[in-house]
Amino acid sequence: MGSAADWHAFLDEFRAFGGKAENVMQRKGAFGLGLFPIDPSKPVDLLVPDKLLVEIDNVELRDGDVVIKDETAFPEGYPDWFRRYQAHYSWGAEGRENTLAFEEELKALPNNVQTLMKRLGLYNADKRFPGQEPEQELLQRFIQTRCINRKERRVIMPMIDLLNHAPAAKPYDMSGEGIAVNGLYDGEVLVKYSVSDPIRRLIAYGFNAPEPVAFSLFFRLQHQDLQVIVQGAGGRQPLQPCKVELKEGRLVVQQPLLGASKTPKMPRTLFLQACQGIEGVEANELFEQIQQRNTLALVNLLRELQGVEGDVASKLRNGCLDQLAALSHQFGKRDDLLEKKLAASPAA
Amino acid sequence: MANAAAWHTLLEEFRAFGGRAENVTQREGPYGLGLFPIDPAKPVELVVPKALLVPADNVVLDDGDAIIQDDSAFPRGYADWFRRYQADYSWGAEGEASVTRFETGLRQLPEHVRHALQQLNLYRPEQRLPREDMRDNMLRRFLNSRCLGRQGRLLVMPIVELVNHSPAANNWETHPDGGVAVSGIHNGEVMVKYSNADPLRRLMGYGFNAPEPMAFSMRVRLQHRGQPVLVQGGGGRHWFQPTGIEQQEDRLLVQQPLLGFRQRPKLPRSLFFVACKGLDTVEPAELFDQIQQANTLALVHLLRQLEGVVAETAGQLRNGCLDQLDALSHHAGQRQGLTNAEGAMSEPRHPLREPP
Repeated sequence: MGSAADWHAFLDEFRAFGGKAENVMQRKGAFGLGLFPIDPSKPVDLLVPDKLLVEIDNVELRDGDVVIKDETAFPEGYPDWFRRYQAHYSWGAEGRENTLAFEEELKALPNNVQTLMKRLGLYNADKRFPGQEPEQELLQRFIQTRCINRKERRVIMPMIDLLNHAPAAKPYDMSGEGIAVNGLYDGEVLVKYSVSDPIRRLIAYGFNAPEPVAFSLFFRLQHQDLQVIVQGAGGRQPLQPCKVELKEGRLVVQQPLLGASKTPKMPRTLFLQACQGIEGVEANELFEQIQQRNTLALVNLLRELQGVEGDVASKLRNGCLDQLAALSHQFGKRDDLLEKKLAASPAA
Repeated sequence: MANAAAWHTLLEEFRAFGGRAENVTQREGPYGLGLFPIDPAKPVELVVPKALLVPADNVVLDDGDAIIQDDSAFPRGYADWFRRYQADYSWGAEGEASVTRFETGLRQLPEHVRHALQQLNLYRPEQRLPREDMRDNMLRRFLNSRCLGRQGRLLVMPIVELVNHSPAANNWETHPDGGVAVSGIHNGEVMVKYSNADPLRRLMGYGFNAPEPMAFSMRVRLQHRGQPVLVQGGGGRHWFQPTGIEQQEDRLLVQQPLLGFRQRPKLPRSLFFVACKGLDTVEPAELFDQIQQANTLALVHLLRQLEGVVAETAGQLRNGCLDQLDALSHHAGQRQGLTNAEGAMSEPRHPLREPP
């Protein structure tokens, strides 16, 4: 990280390329380096125009620096600015070190913890960080925490990727000709990166956050006479019914939402909607079975983590507790929505 | 603990008073001192006749020994035998040491942990240790963990109380004459199910962790459709009875709801539904889930408070919370037949298995 004068000179260059970065400065905060308003009484205004977004496949490591591979689509001087930006404020500031520390500690977790996480679809060291090209793998992990989907491309958003995440913050404003964050901020400028649950936020980004939703982990279970595969994962639009289908005699349930603190009646409602018309399924009971398996898996993981020392083990314990809390946020159901869906179905 | 010869002599005396203690010896096992069959191929038989059961309030400390205060109702020589039994095999063997270790551990927990326990009604020091004499308090705690409750009285069951607890074992047997027994073939340690309790209450009541198969609610307050609800926690009741739910003037009072049951996961919700019948302001499924949620959040909070606390009791509490979360989770579906049957059930005599 450079001096304040360097920072402002840097922002001037960014503005010259068409970006906006008003009333912000980078400094250490509660979540590490982040952006803060210079004058909290005035609005912050950040914008990365589409033309300055860099596709993740178009960056590489060159002599330790993160650079743009193919510069032809960018304004003159922007690739050099991007290289300096990465070196001083992003990858080179603390991005590489933080990513490396997290990945190394994950790999050093006891085998029983790793086996359990692999079984739940949370972490597979061999796939995630095989260690054949450590610097490249590290860069890829780092990029995954700093990019976003925009117009069917996965892109890096300089400046805006310096913002830290808060589950209660507003998401990025993607409505215009770029990606923007603006408004008044009393303290650190925070943004909601994406929809995720606590344990997946931790594994993907390396930090704990009390996310308000919980999706299922990966399981197989028996429901009535059916074998059921619950495909875990988060990150999908939470207020849509999950996909439930019969495949080769097995019931496949994809990413069911199990808890939502702001709308606790929705998880069961959405699940009941998803199961309407599927024979052999007692939807309430299956929802409860999936809830149960998730709870037991987290309890198991917490048991295995007892006495394990280290920052990542502690974060994992917190992640499990946050996930248990998020899972618990479900009660009741929305009869109005269920009746509406039933009335709209062809069989009704 | 005395030697084998002394043990057999003590049993001979016990038999002379009318008790039975066949094919058992005391030794260290995975749960501390316990009783084991001498010949596992043969049945164990332990019986304490009613006449040898000692009301706990008739046991006092005398120079560190647990003795019968008023021995007029007992056979001649029994009070002396009881004193020697307590000194060599029970209170004096490891009873006093283990109960003191646990109670001291609880008192030394950080203030925020003890506060969280008190809020959930799991720990009330003024009730646990009400007397000025700490050694006497320890004796009461010890006897509470070793007694049989009958008609409002706690009764000490010499010899039989040396049997350790397993959630999967059979209950104590009650003889027609009012005596208490444990019998049958035992491959390893002789075990018995002391009572119906959930993991946290077993820990707080007895000082050890056990993977109990059921969970009752803790004391929690919540709002259900605009009305305040007080859930009175507590375990140890007969799980097969529906929860008591009472509409009071300013709130709904829910007493000791069963929330999870490993062998019969459909029961908790079913029993709760039976209990809610006729209550117009209650949506039973939603309230059940809300009570589940409040319990889960309380346990998560307690585990957070325990993070980083290094002590044996803190470790036991962490395990207790995890066991409780496990037990809580065992509820899925409901039994339609039961919800129509007004809770007409009785407790099975043998350990439960989920029906196919």
